[in-house]
Order: sequence, then C-alpha cells, then structure tokens
Amino acid sequence: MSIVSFAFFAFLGVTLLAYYITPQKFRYVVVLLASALFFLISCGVIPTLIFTGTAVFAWLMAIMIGKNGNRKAILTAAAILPMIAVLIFFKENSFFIDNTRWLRDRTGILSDLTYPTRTIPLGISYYTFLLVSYVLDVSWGKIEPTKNPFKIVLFAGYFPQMTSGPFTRFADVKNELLGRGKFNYENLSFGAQRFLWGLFKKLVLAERLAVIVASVYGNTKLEGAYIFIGAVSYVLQLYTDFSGCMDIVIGASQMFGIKLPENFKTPFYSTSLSEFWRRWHITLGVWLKDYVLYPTLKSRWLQSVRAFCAKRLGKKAGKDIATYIGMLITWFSIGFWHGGSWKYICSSGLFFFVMIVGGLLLEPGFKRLIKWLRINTGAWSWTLFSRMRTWILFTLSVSFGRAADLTDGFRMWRRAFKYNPWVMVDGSLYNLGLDAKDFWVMIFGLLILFIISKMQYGTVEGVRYKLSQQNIIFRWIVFLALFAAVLIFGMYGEHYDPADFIYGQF
Amino acid sequence: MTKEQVYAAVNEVFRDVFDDDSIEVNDATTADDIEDWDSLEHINLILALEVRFGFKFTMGEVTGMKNVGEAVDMIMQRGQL
Repeated sequence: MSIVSFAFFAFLGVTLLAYYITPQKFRYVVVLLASALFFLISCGVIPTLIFTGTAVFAWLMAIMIGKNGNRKAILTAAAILPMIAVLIFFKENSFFIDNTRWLRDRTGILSDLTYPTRTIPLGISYYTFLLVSYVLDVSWGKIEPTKNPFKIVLFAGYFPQMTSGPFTRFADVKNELLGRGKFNYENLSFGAQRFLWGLFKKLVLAERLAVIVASVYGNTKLEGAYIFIGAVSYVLQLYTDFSGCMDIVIGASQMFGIKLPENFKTPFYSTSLSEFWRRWHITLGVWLKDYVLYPTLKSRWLQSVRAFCAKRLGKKAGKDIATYIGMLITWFSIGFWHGGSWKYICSSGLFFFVMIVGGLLLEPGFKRLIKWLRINTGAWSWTLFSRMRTWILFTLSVSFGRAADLTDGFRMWRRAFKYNPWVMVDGSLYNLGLDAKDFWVMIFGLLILFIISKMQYGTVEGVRYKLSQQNIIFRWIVFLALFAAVLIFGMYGEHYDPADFIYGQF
Repeated sequence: MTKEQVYAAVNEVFRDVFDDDSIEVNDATTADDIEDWDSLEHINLILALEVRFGFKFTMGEVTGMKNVGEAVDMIMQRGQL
C-alpha cells in the first residue's frame, strides 16, 4: 500500500479514530494491529513472517545478552550477523550477482552459478538497521532489554516509518510508541499540515520532475544544456521525493502523538559536503556514525594501525590515517546500503569520501590561498559560492545514481559538452514530457518550496509554528490553498499511478 | 587525584586534540562550545582520554556522552589517576 494512495489515507483515518477512542493503555495495540495489517496488505504473508521472525529473534537475543554479561560479545555477534546475512541475501545480493556475472562473462569461472529470483521483503533495510541498533544498545549497556516482544515488533514495524525511515532508537520512541502521549490538538493539526506539505512535494513537484528526468535519461540523443537540466531536475526530484516522503511519514506519526526524528535540515544551504551530509538523510548518517564509524575507529586493529603509523609518520598522520580508513568503511557502507551496485557505491559513497578527505587534506592549502587572496569568508558572496560548490558536487555525484550504470553515467556527461544554451528559452523544454502548463506549475511550486525552505532555515520553531501564530482565517486560507494545490495540480487519479518513493527501493 | 586535578589533565588533553591552548573545559562544556568538536574529533578525543587515563570507554558511553562532566565522572570511577 503506497503512502500516497487513497487506500492509505482511509487506512490512516480509521487507525487514528480507533487509536483515540481506545483507552490510553491499549493504544499501542491499535498501532501494532494497524502495522501488521499494513504489512500484510502491502507485501503478503511470507515477508510479514520474515519480519516478525527477525524482530522476535532480535528481542530474544537482546534478553540473552542482558543476562549473560560475560558472553556479551559472542551473543551480540550471533544476533547481528544473521540479521545482516538475511538483509544481504534479500536486498544487497545484486552486488554479488553483478560481480560474479562480470567474472563469469570474462573468465568462464563460476559458469554453473545460477541466481534464484526472490522478492525483497518490504522495508527490510530499515527494520534490520533498527533491530541491529536495539541489540547493540542493549549490548553496550545503553538500555535494558524489554521483556515484551510486541514492543520490539512495534518499534521495528511501526507502519508510517517502516518503508523509508527515519531511523529511530528504541530508547527515544518507546514511550510515545506505547501510546503514553496524550491527545493533543496541536499534534493533530501540525501533523496534518506536515502530511499535506509532503503530498505537495511528492505529487505536485517530484512527479513532474520525474517526467523531465525520465525524458533526459531515457534519450541518448539529448546533449548540452539538456544534460544539466536533467541532472539538476534529478537532484530536485530526489529531494522533493524523499523529503516529501519524510513529511508524510513524520506528519502521519505526529497525528498519533508519536514524534519521529527529522531526516532533513535544509541541506541545500550547506557550505560544504560534510555539512551537507549532516543535513541530508540525517538519521542514516547518525546511525552509521554510532554503529559503524565509531566502533571501527575504536576497534583494536585500527588502533594498532594508528599506533603503527604514528610511530613512523608522526602523531597527526597516525590519527588522520586511522580516521580516513574509518571514513572509507563508513562511506562504502552508505553506498552499499543504497543498492549494492558499484554505481551507488561510487556515486553515493566513495565520491563523497574522496571529496571530504580531499578537502581535509587540502584544507591548509585552501586556508593559505584564502589568506593570500584576502577573501572575506564572512561575506554573503562567499557563502553563496560555497553553497553553489556543494550543490554542484552533490549533483554531479548523484546524477550517476539515476543512470543505468557507471558507464552510462560517464557517457551522459560526455554529451554535456555541447553548446546549446538556447534550448533553455526557445520552448524546447516543453518537449521533455511536460506541457507549458505543467512546466510552469512545477516552476511555481519550486519557488514556493524555496520560500518555505528560506523561512525554515535557521529557525527552531519552524514554519508551522509561525503559521500557528497567525489569525485563524489566514491559517485556514493557507491550509485550504495547499489542499487545493494538491487536489488540482497533484499528479494522481484513475489513470495515473504515482511512482514509488525513490528511497523506498533502498 | 582530586577532581580539580582530573579537570586539569582533561583540559590538557582537549588542548592537545584540538590544538588550541585557550580551551578551558568545565562540567557543562559540550560539542557546541568548541568549534572543532565534531563527530570525528569526538572519537579522537575519546581515544586520547583513554590513553591518558588508561581505561576504555564502552561504546554506550562513547555515543551517549553528553558533556565533559559525564566524561570526568567516568574517569573518576574507572581511570588510572
């Protein structure tokens, strides 16, 4: 069941009603049953059983870890490795398939290897990470294992978030998930507004951008300015699609009084790539920092490497080399998680590793250059330049993620070096799948998005709080205008099936 | 070692890791108070404290540490002072 379908809206409405008419103590049972139903409707019995089995396994192992302090390390490994193995078996196996095929086609080795087809269980890369974090938190003594298996099933399978995140921690959400939050009109109203804003981003913007992106990426005859338009449109599509999805998820959850962590923080205002990744898919970044980067940097083998390098190359070099190895492993994991193929490993992972580490290594040189050129880094023009540079680097890298493979991505950029800027103004853009009306709806919608982002940037309270301070008539005009925009300009309906969320596939 | 002496030693580690002799830490000092204290320097700081005080922070402590005061409490309990 897509979260932008009428079926989901009805499902959400009925669940909300049942939730609030149920005594507070049993509200979590309503969400649990709704999540089970959502899972069953969306992907059938087998994936539901795989999910439930994994969650119960994690719950059981966490209890054993809590009871056996001296065998904690072995039990933790015994809990995590099978979960990761199941994830790789179902989801990331394309990495092994692609590479063994490559080997087979070129060398004849593994010629007898066959590849079984399998259906990927819904949300497996999300719920696996949640369960791994739960087991590790218990193992590290951060939380006590819960005795109630339903709480873990609910934590990992909470229906609004289970397909695309955000990644939560058991300790952060357990109280609210268990329905201990009281009914609050503000939650309901803010949640509905956020939900609607997410629909606007997805149905009005992302779906239109997707048409342009598909036209550019699907036509190898297009060159020059078209390539830049396609790449920029893809970044905007990725942002409106994923952040729209998060708005829908977080908004739906807020209506239940369950606060989920933010996954975006106006990323395009970032002045560096490392800042960008602290503002884009935040919960994945924090998850990888806590459960991959830190354990790697604190591991015995990497500390030995650090000590070895420090002895021979100096203390700073020892520290830097160990840090870069840790970052390499983390960025590889990010790329691998995104799809298990080299185009993702390179474009969503290793590219950023090279850029960030390159930036760190060249930083002293940059600082000297800035001083020599007497650049005022506090000036708005420098901030603008830094933001543009970040945007360009991000666009360049993720543009490969949309291409069929790495080679296809390189071929596309080779076609970009053709001088035809007039296509931007001579009406040629209307041939990319959107007519003039749809095209200008998209441009106007992007302008609204920009204004809202600008209002959101740097504020603690957020735009909805600012809106709540206005008079009731103005508030309702804004709300109804947004509703009407989604209803009139949203790309949905009987003969139109909105594409799945891009991050749902990861 | 008294708490004041632990703070003095911790301060020294901070100055060394962040290469800044003007740093003065206290109970409430957090990553927001020191410009270069980001997620990467956090782990470098932890490793430097481990070396200085001869004990290992658990992963739970590393990811859950909120301020310098918490680190000093852990050092007072388990560190080789």
